[in-house]
Amino acid sequence: MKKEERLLSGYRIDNDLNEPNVFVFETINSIVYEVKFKPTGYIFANDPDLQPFVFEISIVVIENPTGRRPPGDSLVPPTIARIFGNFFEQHERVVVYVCDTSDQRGLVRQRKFTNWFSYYSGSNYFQFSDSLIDDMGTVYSISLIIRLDNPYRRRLLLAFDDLLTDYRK
Amino acid sequence: MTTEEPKKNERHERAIAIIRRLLADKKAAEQEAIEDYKNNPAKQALVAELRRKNEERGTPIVRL
Repeated sequence: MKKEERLLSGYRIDNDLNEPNVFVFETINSIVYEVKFKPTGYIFANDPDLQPFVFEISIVVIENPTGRRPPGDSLVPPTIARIFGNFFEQHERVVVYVCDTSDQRGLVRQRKFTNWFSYYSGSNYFQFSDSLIDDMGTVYSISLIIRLDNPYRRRLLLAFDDLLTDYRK
Repeated sequence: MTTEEPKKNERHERAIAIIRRLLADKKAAEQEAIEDYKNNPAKQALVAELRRKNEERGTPIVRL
């Protein structure tokens, strides 16, 4: 499939009117995903002005009639990219993606997310990623995604950098 | 008023604690989503309506 076709095709998205930050879509295999943006402003405790705009993303299979692990599906990434587009219509928003890389699956998830986001995000978004390591040697990856025209861009990047300064892997 | 900068270890622990909380929140949100779908008629209706529209069109695939 050519890149242009991938950018144009995806799955129909529905939005929960009672929960505007929740989106669902169904794949060709009848697998249903829920994508939710949950407020997590507490990560920027030192800058309360930023807190209302910070959300963590979770991507969950809520129905899987196949009974097997969902297969790779090239239409899922552009669908999630479209959901990002809808969510970021409020351009002050920030999405945080965090991953525990203590197992191989975690590493794969992180890599997949970073790769598809880089591929599909175009030039309208900025992704800032870093990692921390704890005393037990567990590596935690964290990414911050904002629109390039986010009016708090500099403050957000400073706050994010401040959160991680000196503790990188 | 002056505020003493937290020591390096304290700041490291604080950053790790925040990341762990984010991970715990994420896992809780994932579990909540599954439970909510099982038990929430409104969520089930949302998905049923999505499926109905997709069946009506003959495909869940759209031009984005």
